[in-house]
Amino acid sequence: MKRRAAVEIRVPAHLAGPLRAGVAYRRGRESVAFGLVSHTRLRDRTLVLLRKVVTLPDEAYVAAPGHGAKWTGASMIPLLNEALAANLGVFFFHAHSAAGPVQLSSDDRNSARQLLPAFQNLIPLRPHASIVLSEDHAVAMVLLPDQAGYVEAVRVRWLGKVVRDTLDDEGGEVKDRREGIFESQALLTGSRGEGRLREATVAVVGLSGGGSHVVQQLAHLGIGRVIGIDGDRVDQRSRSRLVGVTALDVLLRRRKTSVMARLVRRITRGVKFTSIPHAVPHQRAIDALKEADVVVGCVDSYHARADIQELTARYLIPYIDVGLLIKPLQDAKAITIGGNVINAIPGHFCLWCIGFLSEDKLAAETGGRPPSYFHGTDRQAQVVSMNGVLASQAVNEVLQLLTGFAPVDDAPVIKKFNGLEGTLETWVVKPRLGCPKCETALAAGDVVWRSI
Amino acid sequence: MTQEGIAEALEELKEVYGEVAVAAPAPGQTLIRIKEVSLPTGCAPTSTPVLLVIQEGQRPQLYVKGGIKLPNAGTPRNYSAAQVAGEEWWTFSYSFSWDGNTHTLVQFVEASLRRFAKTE
Repeated sequence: MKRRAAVEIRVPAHLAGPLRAGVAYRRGRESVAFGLVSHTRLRDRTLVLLRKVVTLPDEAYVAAPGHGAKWTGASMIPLLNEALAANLGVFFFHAHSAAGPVQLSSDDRNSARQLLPAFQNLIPLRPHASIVLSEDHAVAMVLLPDQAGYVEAVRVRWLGKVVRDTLDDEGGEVKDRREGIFESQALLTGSRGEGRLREATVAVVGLSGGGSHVVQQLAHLGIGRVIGIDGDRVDQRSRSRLVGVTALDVLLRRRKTSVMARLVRRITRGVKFTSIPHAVPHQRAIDALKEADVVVGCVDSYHARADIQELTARYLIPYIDVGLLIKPLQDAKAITIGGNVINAIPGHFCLWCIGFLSEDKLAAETGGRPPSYFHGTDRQAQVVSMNGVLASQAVNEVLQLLTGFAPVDDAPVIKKFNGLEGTLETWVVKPRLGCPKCETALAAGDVVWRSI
Repeated sequence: MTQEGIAEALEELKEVYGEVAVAAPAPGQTLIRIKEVSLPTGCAPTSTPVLLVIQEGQRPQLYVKGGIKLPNAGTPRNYSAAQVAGEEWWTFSYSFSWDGNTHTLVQFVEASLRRFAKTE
């Protein structure tokens, strides 16, 4: 397994275009784009989360032979004020070449050594950096809070319908030692795609009817690490729908996470399964979600979805929501069977933007009271085969995000399941502009506290 | 609450509770974290960190850290985990009238936590 870069910079889908455009060559010189960022620390790396891109007007640049780009200090004052008010770090980006590895020039290093300590003096609790991009590589000087010296090993993650990471000097490929297992799969995903699957961490929240199918398929795909999050134990009802459960599990009331750990172990020793036997929003579940490259949510309630949506937006993680509803119509003589697979890519749309979540739905779920008033959410009809259809589509979405096996466009779409007709259709949705939830949560990172 | 009102309230909270921190993660929203507030006599633990979420035009929301036991060693009812700004907190129901113009945040904190004095 390759070592991860010490700093990972995540660019939400809606800022990828402005950032690329901001660093494009103009009028025969380099251009810089400034990013206002939040961050969080994981065990093995720092995640930097891009909240806003700011570019300078042409008149801010000054002619300076020998420099790629030079701009006036005064032109940075508005963005520094904005960064200070919102307690955000300042990253400045520029581009060197079209593709391939890039280097920081001595000029880049000198300007970083001048500017970054000044930014840190102003906003000490956030990272600051100078970054050089090419189409597929990045190099940087990052000044982290409370750390001396600069970090240069960075990876930039561009979020979209396919998650693209900048490459390291090895070309981003991982040599798979388990020859033969994934040979047929690689015909679709390619060797680079297989490498990305082996490196990825996917969290599955809810390990019942939908989530157990998802975990099983992720293990077969050879995902590097699967995090299973569920605070419940199996019971009699689990036997009709939870993949991998046994009668003895039910007798012993084993934890669902234990059943999933065994399921994965029996499929392969090559996939690491991490059990989190707690529900979201337990702190251990929150911390585990932050580690994920993709989150698949197979939960019953809108409140749980709202929590997962907030966290995944905050840390810029694609969130695939799976939901199935089988309910009798009014006279109980007919039924409707409907379901969704919603791939909420940060910066593209969220469950609030498309009206899937609303304050009214949350209030209706608990009668306007706190979430502890839930009743009957686990008494909805569940059918293993129908859960399986939706779970399989969710895993297809994971595969697409990580390997980009299918061509994509930018249309905002979700998948709608009709269990009576046996169809899974693509629906175009219309996200609302200026979603207040996105405005608050997107790339918010960890809260930075100021002592009084 | 206005920004001026919040600044005054912070001073008062600091005077009463000691260590207080503040964050403004979004326009119109202020988070106030109090390191330690005493719980009613008989509760375990005897104190808890408190989070106040102040949203313009809305009643403040109060959160505590989980694991509080009532004086009769029972778990409070209608007391549930919530995720606020990427951290686990606990919320609970309480009912008392609140007027931001006449009541202070210290009064709000004290009135809210009095709920844990009631044995259920």
